[in-house]
Amino acid sequence: MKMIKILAASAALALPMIAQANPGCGLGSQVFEGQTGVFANVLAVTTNGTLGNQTFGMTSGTLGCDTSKPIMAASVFVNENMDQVAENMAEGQGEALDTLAELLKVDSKEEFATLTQSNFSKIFTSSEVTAEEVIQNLEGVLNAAG
Amino acid sequence: MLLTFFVSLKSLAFEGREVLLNSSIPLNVKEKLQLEMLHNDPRWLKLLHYKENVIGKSFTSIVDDKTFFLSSSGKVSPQKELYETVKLFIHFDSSKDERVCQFPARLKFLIEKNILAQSYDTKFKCDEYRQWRQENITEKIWLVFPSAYLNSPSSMFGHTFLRLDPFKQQSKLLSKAVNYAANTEETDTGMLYAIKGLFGGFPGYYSMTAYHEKVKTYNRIENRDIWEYRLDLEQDDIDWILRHLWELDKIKSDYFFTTQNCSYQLLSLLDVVRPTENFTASFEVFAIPLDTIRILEKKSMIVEQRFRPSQSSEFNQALKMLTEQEKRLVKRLKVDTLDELASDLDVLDIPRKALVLNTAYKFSRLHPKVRKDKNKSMSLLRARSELGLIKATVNDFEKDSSKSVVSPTQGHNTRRLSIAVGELNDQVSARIAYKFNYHSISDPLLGYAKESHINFFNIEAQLQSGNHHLEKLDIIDIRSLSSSNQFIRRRAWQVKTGLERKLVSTGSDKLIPDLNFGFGYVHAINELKLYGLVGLNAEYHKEYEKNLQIAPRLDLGGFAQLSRFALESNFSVISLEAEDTWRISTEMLASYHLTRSISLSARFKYELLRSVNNRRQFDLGVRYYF
Repeated sequence: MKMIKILAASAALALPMIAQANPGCGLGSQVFEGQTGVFANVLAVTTNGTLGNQTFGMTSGTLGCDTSKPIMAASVFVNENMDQVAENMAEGQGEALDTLAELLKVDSKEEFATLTQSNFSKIFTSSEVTAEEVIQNLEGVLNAAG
Repeated sequence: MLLTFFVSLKSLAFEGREVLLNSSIPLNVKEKLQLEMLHNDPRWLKLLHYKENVIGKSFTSIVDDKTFFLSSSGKVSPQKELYETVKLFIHFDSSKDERVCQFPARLKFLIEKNILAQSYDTKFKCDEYRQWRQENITEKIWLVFPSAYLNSPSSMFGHTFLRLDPFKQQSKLLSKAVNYAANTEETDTGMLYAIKGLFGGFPGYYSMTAYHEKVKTYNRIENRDIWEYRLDLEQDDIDWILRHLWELDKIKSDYFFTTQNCSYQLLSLLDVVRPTENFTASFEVFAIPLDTIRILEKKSMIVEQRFRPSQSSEFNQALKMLTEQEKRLVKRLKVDTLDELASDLDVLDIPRKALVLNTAYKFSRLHPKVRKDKNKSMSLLRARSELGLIKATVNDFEKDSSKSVVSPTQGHNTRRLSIAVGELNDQVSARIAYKFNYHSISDPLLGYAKESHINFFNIEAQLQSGNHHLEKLDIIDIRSLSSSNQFIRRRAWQVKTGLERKLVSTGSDKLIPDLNFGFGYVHAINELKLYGLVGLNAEYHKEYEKNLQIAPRLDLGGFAQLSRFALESNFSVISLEAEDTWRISTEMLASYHLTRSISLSARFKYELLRSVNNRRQFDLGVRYYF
C-alpha cells in the first residue's frame, strides 16, 4: 500500500485548503443532480450556444478554484463528475475513476480502485453527499489504509 | 448578393486610388512583398478567413471583429492587411506589445516567407501567449462529433469541436476542448433563437473547456453518442493551429446555424494548416457537421476513430446482455425497492448479479420517475460495490458496444436524387425528386440514428404526357419517432412545412402551402414500430373565403428499418372545415438498399376526399445518394 501512503500525505496537507482558501470555489455538487434524462425539452437551448463571455483564460466550469494543487484539481473534477465517479467506484473501474487517480498522482490505479470500491459506502455516504464531503471521506479512507 | 457586390466595388476603388505601400516599410521588404504577391498566398488568405467575392477578384473576410484587423480596410483587402501586419512587427514598440502578441500565426507566416528574420519569433515577450502555449502543449488533436440531437433545433445535425491531447497524459477527460459556438442570451428561446441563428444574429466565439465537461453534457445530459476522430497532424501543423487559435481568442464572427456554424469554423481553422486543400470550399451554402467530417476523411485527414456511447446507448447495450428474467428484475425497480428485489437477485451468481445491478443503476438514472428517488440509485451502487471487481463482464460489454456501432461517416451521403416510373390515376407517369439533405426513415440506416427522419428541402415533380407539375416541395420535414419500450417511454413528434399537391373540392388537385405538427407515441414490437400522432394541420387556400384552414390531424402508421430493407406506411386523416369533410391520405413505401449510395424503391399513395374524389399513385424507382 505504498502508493496510498504517498497520496494520503499529500491529501492531508492540502485538504484544509478547500474549505478555507477558496470561498468562491463552490464544490457543493451533489451526486445525481443536473441531469435531464431522456425527457429533454423540445426546444432545449443547450448545445451550440454558450452563455456569457468565454475566452481561453477560463478553462474550467468551476471558477475561483486554484487547480494547480492535485487535490484541488481532483476536487473540481469530482464536483463536476459526481455520478460518473460514483458509478465507476461502485464498479471498481472506469474512466472517471482512472482520471481521479491520475489527478491525485496515484501510482497504482488498480489498488486505488480496489480500495475505493471496498469503501464505497464510507465515501458516498448518502445520496445527498456533496463533492466536498466525498473528497474529505476519500481522504479519511486513504489515511486509514495508509 | 447586393452587399457582396457593394463590398467588391468598394475594395476595387481602394486599389485604384491609394498608394499601396506605406513608406515606413524598408525598401527591400517592400520589394519582396510586391514581387512575391504574398497577399495572394493561400495561407495568408486562410489566416484572415478571406472568401473570394462573387463578383470581381476581390475578397471579404468572414471575421466580423475590428480588433482582428490591423488595417481599417483589412476586412476586404488582403494586401493592406499584409502591409499593416509587416509594419506592426518591424516597428515594434513595447507600448503596443499586446498587438504584436495578438498574431503569432501571422508572424510565423512572415518568417516562413523570409519577410522577417527567424529571430522575430522570440523577439517579443508575450508572457500571456507563451504561458497559454505552455499550458496547452499538444500531442494530438481530435475532431469530436456529438451526434444529432433531434430535440434541439440548433443541433439536429450534430455539432463538432476539437480536443487537444497533451503529451504524457493518460486520461482523455482531462484534455481541453476547443469549441466554436454562438454566444446566446438566456432569454432567446424557441422561434426567436432559431431565426436569429439562421440569419447570423448571434456572435460566435471560440472557447476552451475541460473535455470532461463536454462529455458530461453530451453523453449524460443530452444522451448523445460521441464520435472522436484523430486528425493527421504533425507537430508543425499543431503549432499553426494553436498560434491561429490564439489569434481568434475573443474574436467575433457572426454565427449562422446552417452556413458559418461550428463545423465550418473548424474547417476554416484546418484550412490554415492545409491552405491548398480548401476544406471550406464545398460548404459555402450549407455546412452539415457530418459532411465536414466526411471531407476530412476523404482527404485522408482522419487516422483513428473512437466511440463514446451516451448513457442511454450504454443502457440499451447492457439490456441486450440480460436474460428475459433478469430484464424483469430491472423493470421491477419502477415500483419495488432494492430490498424487495433482494431475494430474486440472490439467486443469481455474482457476475450476473453485478451486471443486473449495473444495468438497474443505469435504468434508475434514465427513467423520469425512478431518477427522482436518489436513494434508490445510491442503494444500487452500494449493492454493486459490495460484489467487488468483475473484470470479464465489463470488458466483454465494452468490446461489444464499440463493435456494434458504425461511424456516422460510413452512412449514405446526405443528398438524394430519385427517379421513379409508374402510374398516376391510371396514366403512365414518371416522378423525379431531389432532396438536399439529410436522412429519411426509408434511407439506408447504417451510420444514422434509428427512428429519426430529418429532411430539409425536398422537391418532387410528376412528369406525364401533357401534364408536368410540381408534386411537392418540403422545406422542413422532421419526424422524431423514438419508440418507447417496457423500460423507457419517449415522446414522438413531427413537424412539416412546404407545398404539397392535394385534392380539393373545387377542382381535382392543387399545390397548397401547408404546415402540420403532431405529438404522439411509438410502440415497438421488435423491429416493427407502430405509431400514433395527433396534431394540427394548417393549409392556405386562395379560393375559400377563409384562406387559412386550420384543422385537426391524425397520423397512424408503422415502419421497420433493417440494414438492407426499410418499410414505411402512413395513414392520415384531416378534417376540413371549409369543405365540411375530411381528407384521407395513405402511403406505403418500401426500399431495398443495394449499396450505401443506391436504393430501389416501391411506393403506393392513395388520397380520398369526401368519398368521391380520389388520387392514386404507384411507382417503382431508384434512389441515388451523393
